[in-house]
Amino acid sequence: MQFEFTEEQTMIRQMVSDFARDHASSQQVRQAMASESGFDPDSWQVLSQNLGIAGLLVPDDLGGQGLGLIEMALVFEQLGQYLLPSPLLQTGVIGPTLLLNLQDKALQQHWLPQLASGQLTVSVARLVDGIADYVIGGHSADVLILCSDDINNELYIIDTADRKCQGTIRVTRQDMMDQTRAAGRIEVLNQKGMDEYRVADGTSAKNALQRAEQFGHIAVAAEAVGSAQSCLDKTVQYVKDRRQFGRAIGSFQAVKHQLADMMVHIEAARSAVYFSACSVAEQPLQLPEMASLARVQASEALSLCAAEMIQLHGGIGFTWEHDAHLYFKRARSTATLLATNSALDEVIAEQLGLCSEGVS
Amino acid sequence: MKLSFTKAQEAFRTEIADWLDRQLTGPYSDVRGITSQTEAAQRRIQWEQELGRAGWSAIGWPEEFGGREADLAEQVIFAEEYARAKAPGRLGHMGVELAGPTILAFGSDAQKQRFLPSISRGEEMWCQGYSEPNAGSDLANVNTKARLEQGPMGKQWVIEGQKIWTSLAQFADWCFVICRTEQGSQGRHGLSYLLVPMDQPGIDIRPIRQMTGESDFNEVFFDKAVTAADNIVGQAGAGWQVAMGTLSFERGVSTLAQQMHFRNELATIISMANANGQSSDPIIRQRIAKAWRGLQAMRASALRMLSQTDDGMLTGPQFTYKIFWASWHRQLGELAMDVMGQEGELTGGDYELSDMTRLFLFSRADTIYAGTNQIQRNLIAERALGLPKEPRG
Ligand SMILES: Cc1cc2nc3c(=O)[nH]c(=O)nc-3n(C[C@H](O)[C@H](O)[C@H](O)COP(=O)(O)OP(=O)(O)OC[C@H]3O[C@@H](n4cnc5c(N)ncnc54)[C@H](O)[C@@H]3O)c2cc1C
Repeated sequence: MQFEFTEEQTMIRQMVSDFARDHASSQQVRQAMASESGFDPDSWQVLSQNLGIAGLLVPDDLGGQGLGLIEMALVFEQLGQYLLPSPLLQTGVIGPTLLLNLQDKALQQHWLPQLASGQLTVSVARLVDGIADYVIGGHSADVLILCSDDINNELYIIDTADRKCQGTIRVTRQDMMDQTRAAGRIEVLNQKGMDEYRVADGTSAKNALQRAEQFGHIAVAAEAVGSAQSCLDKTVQYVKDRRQFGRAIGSFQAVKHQLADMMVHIEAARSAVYFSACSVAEQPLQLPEMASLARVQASEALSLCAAEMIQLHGGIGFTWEHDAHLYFKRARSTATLLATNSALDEVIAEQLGLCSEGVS
Repeated sequence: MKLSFTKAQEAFRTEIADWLDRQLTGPYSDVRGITSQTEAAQRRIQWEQELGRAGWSAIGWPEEFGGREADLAEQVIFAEEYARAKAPGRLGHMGVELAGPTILAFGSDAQKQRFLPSISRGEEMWCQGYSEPNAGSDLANVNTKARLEQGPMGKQWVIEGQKIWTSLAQFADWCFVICRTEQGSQGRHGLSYLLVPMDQPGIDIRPIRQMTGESDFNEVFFDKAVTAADNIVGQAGAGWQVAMGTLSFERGVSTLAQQMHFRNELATIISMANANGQSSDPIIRQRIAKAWRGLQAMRASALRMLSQTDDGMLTGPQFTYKIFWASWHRQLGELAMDVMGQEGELTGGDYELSDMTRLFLFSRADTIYAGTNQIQRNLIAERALGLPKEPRG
């Protein structure tokens, strides 16, 4: 038992932190979020190809780095500080995890090297009655992995560059309150046409999807911890500088205590995220509750910190120009991404053996 | 990062689990599961001695003072097994967790020889003499005074003053006392850290009844109480640094044992909820899930905190740990009451409390002792975040 980062992990963290400093200024973030795709292809190329981050979870023999979720969590924590929009969650975490769990060598050999190199982006989505809404990157992804909600759990992989699919599905961009996570709607127009894209079904498909989403929760959680830390850092700086009543507002106890509470929530969330990322490899059976732990803990911390960031900045914090609202909106999209916090807490309640029907 | 244990560590786990089991189903079955601080005190002192004889009392200490030089993983395992076996709360904890580590870090060789073995063998119990009526959060305001005088056996400290809220003083053989040894000094200056024997005419202990109905803490009056001139830890006048050192040990491995105890409490709440049907209430389910999350976060924070290399700098979880667990535990008490419903409000004829009702009441103190929540927030804001200091009156 040991709870420190290795040298390699610390190096990855530093590398991504340097990347973010150069590629994720407020101006760069705002440019990316105003674009049609919702991300900046140049910085994505640096992150995915030059730094090899898209292939972090992909095994070496499939063109990746063969690292684990701890490394990925450190990457997301760094990126979260800056809110830089990128396809990494889907292309680097959810997509590859799903494919790796399908146990289909041919599929893996076909897709994973292209995802790992950052050549292609992917979006994974659950269809409900033939529609998937608010799919992160769904409008711009090169590859769609769609999971049906019928009893067979069919799984489809569609290469959107192939024009043939246009009569089968329709993809449209959806404008979201959190503009740093561009999203789209995917509609199945012709169910028959889907057959040729089917790659798996049954429990193996279902389990692969669940696992992929659980990895996604942990990555999103790490990102949220980074974002919450940014809210705290920026607000601490502001209250040291801003003066009212002849003193720095950071000298008022009401302000100090609020910031202290933010730090308490952030540290608890950070611990939870590292712990759950670590447990994935060692205690795989506990993944459902560990993923919930990380996501809800971090989401709550970010919601608190982003809200207090606005409050403690006063009027400035309410402007479009200031970044506070970007964090506040990110907090909201984090609380609902892939699952709501209360649904995730319900996963924990079940794992804890709480009977849901009356007296046992 | 790695969470799993090695084969040797698992063997260690089996060894301690077997030993605890044998004791707590055999000769010490009467103290199993006791959570009250004062219940069956004399038996629990015998239990301390049993732990000491078997070398389980202070496992992180050097061997020459009765420890096993256990590393962090082994201490984690010990804490887990101790709680799993429902072994009773440690009456010796202030010696093992506070006085001992302080003497180990700041004491003279002679003090180590004199005090450490008797602590690890469970032969001498300790209490903490910090707070006074006018020195609570503002600890530097202590006013108890000591001066060196010639006594019948050589030079000795003569102590005058009053301590308050002194937990378990009624069972203690020794007290570590912060007092003023420089006349006219103020604040952190001129304080000394004395080790004072409790069994003497100059000391008067008066229990204070607390809101649980029990008396864990006391007033302690010093009226020409004495202790040998050698029984000072660190330099005269430099007691503040030593006193702060002691407080830092409250962030030590004992937190792990405490967490395991919390885990047992949460398990009790879950089984009560399943038994009385509250488990189907969606709000209760969410609150229990949240409590579980807090517990996991705490565990991970403790591991982060304890794995940190000791370079004297406090880092994130070290600052935030106390307020987090204290607030969490207070909420757990509220959750327990909500799960129990009115049944939880029932007491015995002598105001005996069930474990869960005591949890609800006692956890109000968690956010007061060892630095109140407000003081913790001041500390975090000023020392971790670098915000301006509170003005002093
Ligand atoms: C169960 C229990 C066991 C204890 N055991 C021991 C023991 O064994 N040995 C020992 O020495 N002491 C012990 N204590 C005492 C404990 O350390 C003190 O109660 C604590 O330090 C608070 O001091 P006080 O009670 O004087 O409250 P005060 O310091 O008077 O505080 C009252 C209120 O004012 C707030 N406050 C004070 N200063 C500030 C500030 N600067 N900013 C904002 N708010 C502030 C506090 O947070 C609190 O809410 C124990 C206490 C309890 C409850």
